[in-house]
Amino acid sequence: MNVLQLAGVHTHIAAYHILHGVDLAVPEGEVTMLLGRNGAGKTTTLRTIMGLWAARQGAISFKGGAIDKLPTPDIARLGIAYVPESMGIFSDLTVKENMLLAARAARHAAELDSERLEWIFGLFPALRKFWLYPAGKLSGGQKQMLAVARAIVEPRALLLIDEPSKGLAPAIIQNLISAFRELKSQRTTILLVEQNFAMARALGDRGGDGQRPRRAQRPHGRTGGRRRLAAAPAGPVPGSASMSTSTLPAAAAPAAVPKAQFDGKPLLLLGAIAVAALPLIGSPSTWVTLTVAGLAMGLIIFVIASGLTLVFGLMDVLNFGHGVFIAMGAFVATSVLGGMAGWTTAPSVWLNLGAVFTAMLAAMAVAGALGWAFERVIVRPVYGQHLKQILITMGGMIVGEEMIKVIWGPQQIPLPLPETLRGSFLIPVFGEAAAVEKYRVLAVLIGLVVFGALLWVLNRTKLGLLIRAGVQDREMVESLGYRIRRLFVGVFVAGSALAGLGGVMWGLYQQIVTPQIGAQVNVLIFIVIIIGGLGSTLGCFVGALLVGLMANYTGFLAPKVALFSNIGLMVAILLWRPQGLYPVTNR
Amino acid sequence: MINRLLSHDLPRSRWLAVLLIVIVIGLAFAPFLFPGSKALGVAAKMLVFILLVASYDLLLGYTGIVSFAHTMFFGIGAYGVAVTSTRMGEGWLAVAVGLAAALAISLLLSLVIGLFSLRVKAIFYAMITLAVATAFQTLASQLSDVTGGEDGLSFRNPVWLSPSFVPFETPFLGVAVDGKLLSYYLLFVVVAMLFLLLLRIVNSPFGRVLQAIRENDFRAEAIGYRTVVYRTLSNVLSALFATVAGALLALWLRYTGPDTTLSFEIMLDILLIVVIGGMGTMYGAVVGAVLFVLAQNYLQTLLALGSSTFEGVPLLGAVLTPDRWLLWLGVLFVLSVYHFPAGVVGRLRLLALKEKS
Repeated sequence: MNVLQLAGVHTHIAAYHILHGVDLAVPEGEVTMLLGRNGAGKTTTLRTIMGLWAARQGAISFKGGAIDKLPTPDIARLGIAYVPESMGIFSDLTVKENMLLAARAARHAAELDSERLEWIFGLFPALRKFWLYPAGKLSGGQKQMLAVARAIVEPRALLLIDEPSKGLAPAIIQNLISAFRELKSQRTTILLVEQNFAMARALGDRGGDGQRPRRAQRPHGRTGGRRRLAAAPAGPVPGSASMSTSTLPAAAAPAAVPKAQFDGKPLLLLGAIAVAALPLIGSPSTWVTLTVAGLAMGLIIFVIASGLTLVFGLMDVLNFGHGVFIAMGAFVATSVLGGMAGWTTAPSVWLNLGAVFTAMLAAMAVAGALGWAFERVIVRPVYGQHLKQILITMGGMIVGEEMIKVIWGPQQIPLPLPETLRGSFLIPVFGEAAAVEKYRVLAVLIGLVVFGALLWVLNRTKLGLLIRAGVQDREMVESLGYRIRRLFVGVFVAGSALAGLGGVMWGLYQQIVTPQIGAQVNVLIFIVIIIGGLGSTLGCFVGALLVGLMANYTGFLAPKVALFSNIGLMVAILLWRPQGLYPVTNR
Repeated sequence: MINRLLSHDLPRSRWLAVLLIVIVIGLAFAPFLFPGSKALGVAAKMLVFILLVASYDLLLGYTGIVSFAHTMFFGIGAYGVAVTSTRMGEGWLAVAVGLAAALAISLLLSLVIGLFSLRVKAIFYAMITLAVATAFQTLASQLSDVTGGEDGLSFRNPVWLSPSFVPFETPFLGVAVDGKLLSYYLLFVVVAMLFLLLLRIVNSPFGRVLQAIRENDFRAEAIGYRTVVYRTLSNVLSALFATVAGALLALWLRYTGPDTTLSFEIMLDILLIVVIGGMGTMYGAVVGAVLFVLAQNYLQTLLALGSSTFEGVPLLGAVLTPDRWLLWLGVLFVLSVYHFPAGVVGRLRLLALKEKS
């Protein structure tokens, strides 16, 4: 019985007609080879099956059901695993996380089928060894092993594997061949694209090279294959099939095992700036006041910017309209706090905090809802078009700002702090008393909670794993069976809600709200996410703190220069690291 | 002759050609066709915006770079003339020194911003220019000793261009010949010449490289063009033209302030005109600027009319006040980016192509 059936499939990529009526059948429990020279359309065939390119004509059926109209994640969920030519490794994720992502049912590594995992480790011993290292630091062969291992982490009805031997050393190829033999012996159904004829001959039950039957060059492809075949025995092919890294040349010897290193230099810079400011300012108590103010400002900016940087990282959308959510949050807070005057003027800390938190929740809800609408109406039609994105989101920002003026009026609205949150704590520093405003302490606490929650979600949950993977390779996440569109809408809404929260915090920090607040803060957050590295949450955090501290130190030391301190900071950082403090790979 | 003047970049649409001829004639004889100081002011604003938007089109339409600092260079030109005219006293020397200094500052700034941010990533540029432009705006309002702060600077023009200068006693074709008229024609001649120069630039081999970079910067680099150099050059050229436009505006208004040159609203106007007129066409700047400035003067009255009609209706009245003019501008902008990406010129050319085939 045929698991997969293609009949007369035509695929176009942009203006090019790539597949001209491909017929292909993949019988169950066998390895089907797809051979052909470069440009024959092998990869396009696989991508069409996965739904990554749309078939314009023809039918594709899987286990009897049509799949040619399904989106990629749904196709993957039917039980098709795809190993793309580029391998699709998430290089910032560890081997473990890569495997966990591929196992859709498992939420934690503990939920992985340990027996199956042992079997995979038996096939690819290197994976056990590098289990906790970033996948990007593996060698090419090890990456390929990981890519195959990811496809078989759970039993799948069909594996689509695109040129696994490409660019690999003969020893590694031998290892892969034996792994595929093992899979074959377990009656796994595989559709394998290959140019290495030795590999194809060693594995295939049947071959298909039905691509472009009208092309006259087809026989050349065969010749190429034979030449490879003739050359294969001359190469250094080791007899043993259980090749592992230990028999490779010294370059990959255990001594060179890559360590997952944390890059602490940006954090050191943060500390260095704070320390350097101390002698310049002179008075330790003033320094404490300024540092707390800087941290508070930085954390507020971080809360606002984190959503923007995630949205950019995940979907490559630079939202110039992010400021609308900030302004919306701040204005909602003026209404809520104005309406809760009984609570804000009461001399009780709990009532005051209750009012502030109610305002924050309301602001987050409104900003989140606005973000949902913004994504639908403004952003969705212009995915992948940077120029239009910039223009459109800018337009959306103007419209939003004007709507705020329509609702709340064009004038400034005071946003006073509740009774007990005003004033300062006095902290003794070397005999002097440093004034630390109460609200700033609260802002620091809230900012740290948001940062902690974000880090927890990103690093400890499957959702965060998906987001981090999506930042690097959207297509592969979809090929693993996850609906990234929903994920993105979720992140966009969450990012907008965070901006709304940040807007409340910023408004309370300034104690006044103007309709232009969004545009003003927007400039700051752009600087922050450029400094941090577009798409990086940690970078955004460090960048925000840098900007906050610099603004407060220079504001005290040289108010005239303060205006340019942020731009100067950005210039200096970009000279040091042109992609930002923590560049995101693949971007 | 016309062909050479337009650098072989003809309108390529009969209707566009007609429209352009009407506009050129209208602007060339504006003082005689549309009497009154308000009409002349509108025409002068059109001229300044044609140059300003055309220079922006070189950057956005031809090179594919989004900059939010264009008003900064516009402002540098305007402030250059204003500052020297108030400091050195009125006269051609002050104008020349101011313009030269402004051009030098613009050159330096655009070179630094370009070399710095275009080297890294094109998308950074939009963000970095936004930040720099905002900082510059704040700087201009803070250095009130030099720039007059929020109030701006009012100054006197060289004698020939001041309204009180009347060389001939008898009116010419029913219009009094005075400094204002001379100023208008100074604007007209300079704008026409610079526009043709811009047309020449975009149709030169250099302009073709810019378009190649816009289409696919990686391939342009692979063919052997240093995209950073070309992008930066385009950035510098565009900044210099904007500076001249700013100086012209200052000469016409005899006033320079943040609202007339640096405000973000002007940046939005530029973006809107480029999109409405048609990106990457140059003629789009002419058509767009004329339509936009007309609409700006006309639509606001319409809004005022609407708001007085819907006085009692709660939300509608508030939305329709002339103060919310920017709201409608924003909506118009979003809609035109979606549904009208080729702009007026692009549409007309498409129509002409369809007619032919």
